[in-house]
Amino acid sequence: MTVQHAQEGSLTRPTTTDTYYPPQKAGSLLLTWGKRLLWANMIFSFIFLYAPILVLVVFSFNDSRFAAKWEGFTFKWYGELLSNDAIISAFWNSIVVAVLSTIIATLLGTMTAIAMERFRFPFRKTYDGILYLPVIVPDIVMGIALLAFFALALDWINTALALPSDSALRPGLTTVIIAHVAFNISFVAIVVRTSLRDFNKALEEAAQDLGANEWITFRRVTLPLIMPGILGGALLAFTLSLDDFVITFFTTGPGGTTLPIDVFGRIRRTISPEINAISTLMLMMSIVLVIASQTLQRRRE
Amino acid sequence: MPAINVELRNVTKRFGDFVAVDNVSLQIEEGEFFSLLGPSGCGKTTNLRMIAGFELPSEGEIYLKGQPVGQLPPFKRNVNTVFQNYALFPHMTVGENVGFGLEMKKLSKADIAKRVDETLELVRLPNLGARKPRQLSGGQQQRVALARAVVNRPAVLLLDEPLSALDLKLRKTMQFELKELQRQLGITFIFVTHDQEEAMTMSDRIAVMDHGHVLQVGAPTNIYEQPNSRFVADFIGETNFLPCKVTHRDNGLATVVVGDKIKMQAACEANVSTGDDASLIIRPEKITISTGQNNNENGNTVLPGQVVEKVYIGTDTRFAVKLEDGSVLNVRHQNMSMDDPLTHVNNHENVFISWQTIAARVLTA
Repeated sequence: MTVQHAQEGSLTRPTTTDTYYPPQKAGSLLLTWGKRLLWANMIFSFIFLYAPILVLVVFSFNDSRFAAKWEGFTFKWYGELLSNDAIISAFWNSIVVAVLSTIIATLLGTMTAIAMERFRFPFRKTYDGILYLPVIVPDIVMGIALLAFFALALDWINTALALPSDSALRPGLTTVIIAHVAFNISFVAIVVRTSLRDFNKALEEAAQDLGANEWITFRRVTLPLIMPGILGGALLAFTLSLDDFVITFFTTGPGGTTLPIDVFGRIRRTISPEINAISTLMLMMSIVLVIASQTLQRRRE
Repeated sequence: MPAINVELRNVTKRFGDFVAVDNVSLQIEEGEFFSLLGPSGCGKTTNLRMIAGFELPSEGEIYLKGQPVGQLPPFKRNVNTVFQNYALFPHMTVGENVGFGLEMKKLSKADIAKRVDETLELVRLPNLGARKPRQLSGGQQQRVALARAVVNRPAVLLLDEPLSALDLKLRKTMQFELKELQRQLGITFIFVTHDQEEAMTMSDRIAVMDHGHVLQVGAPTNIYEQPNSRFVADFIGETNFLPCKVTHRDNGLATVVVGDKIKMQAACEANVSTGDDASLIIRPEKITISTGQNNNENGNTVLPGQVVEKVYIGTDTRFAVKLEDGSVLNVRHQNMSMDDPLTHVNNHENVFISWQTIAARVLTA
């Protein structure tokens, strides 16, 4: 085999030198202009994408109440941010919602993906289609649907338990978490299914052949091999939860203010440099998450 | 008489309407190298997967050392498999892969380490325990897969076309090594292959399968020399088929007429009877070709013919010879020297072909 390859190589090499023509003037001119245009296009795209973000980051260090003019460098908006209780509590709410909804959605989404991929049951195809719905349905529809659902469900529970109005269940952080789990399950399930589809089932047979029962096979072989997919799904869920505004807006209530909701409330009054500072911090978090996910994927290879 | 190790009794496997294995019964002896041979889709792999426990038989029972195991899950059978594409665990080292089965049997860490080392030594891969499977070549991965299975000292080792992913030269080496390993360990091997040469060179016995049926079980010589059906004769080696009619039979010898013209005798299968339309089979290398009628001894069948094609292939020359009735036989003639008169035979020349009468066999058409 190898000998044949070597021969092929030595045969083709002279042929390529024979048919090699030096680049012609007109062609090379076209090539340089084409290249220049491509470069210009790329630079323009980057400016289009990142200039607003750059402005935001720069002005979060601007020593002026008014966003339009540069007055000098300062960290004071970050300082004010840290001493603003409303922002800090909204930040922690966001983290709590993101962490809890990610954990629950990852567990449920992974189990759903395994069930969909491995088992045959009635209406599997239908269920499969429905699973993708939250990904396609506009956030606003999802938000309104969840709002209607929670209104009905909470009312039903309050009536059933005959709770007095001062201790009745109301929308709040819990409803937000449930709403985030609801849309995140789909995303996790989709990502995990992809890695299950690539999974070589002979590996599970090999484990069982060597004496591992179903559970040990899952724990020792299946789970470690689909783990990158699960972590990828979890990371996606965390990011989606962290910056969700629309669905949170419809399902939140007293005590359930997340960071995006809080920022939106502030913007309605005035665009303050503090908002720039919060946004910069959130940007940093996103970057860290992206790097983390990339590192995870690289380690998998 | 060696003990029966694995037995399939009237085993049938259906996938929906498709019958993959149809009422198969087999007895495989202790320490035997047994091959399941057949074209793809003949049911040989399904058979193997049922013995392993990856598929459960729709009907019938499988016995392992006399115990019924047909409905047991794979992890409750003392059987190990070498998979077609090895199925090594990519996230574990070679050592962890090989030790996995022992770990499941809850052996101590020290015992596992010792047996893993011994087994890696056995498959000639010492000191590779710390590597990951993807760092190994195809041949090395093959050996790891083998080590991972035999380390458990199973009652039966199942091999599902284990050599098909290797290149020809490596495959030949591995065939030899597998056979050697089987001799050393004394474990029963059940080997699935579609490669008739591989089956012939390695097996003690072969079961030839087609369309879910076992057509013939026997030693390689038996399968090659006395095929019991057209399919077996055709699938294994090269064969000439001549349609014929049986005019008489007695004591395993039949008299047949080929093409209403040529009368001859041949060995005969038990299920052939007088008056049948049958096939006469004769292998090309069993036919002698000569320019004169000099093979006319007792026990030989001699026929005149005309060369219609001649192909020189170095070790031998292939002739296509047309008989009186118009049927054409392929003949292999070993090239002895340049003085061999047959070297100079041309197309359309008249020749004589002959064979030992019992080398030709009559089968039901």
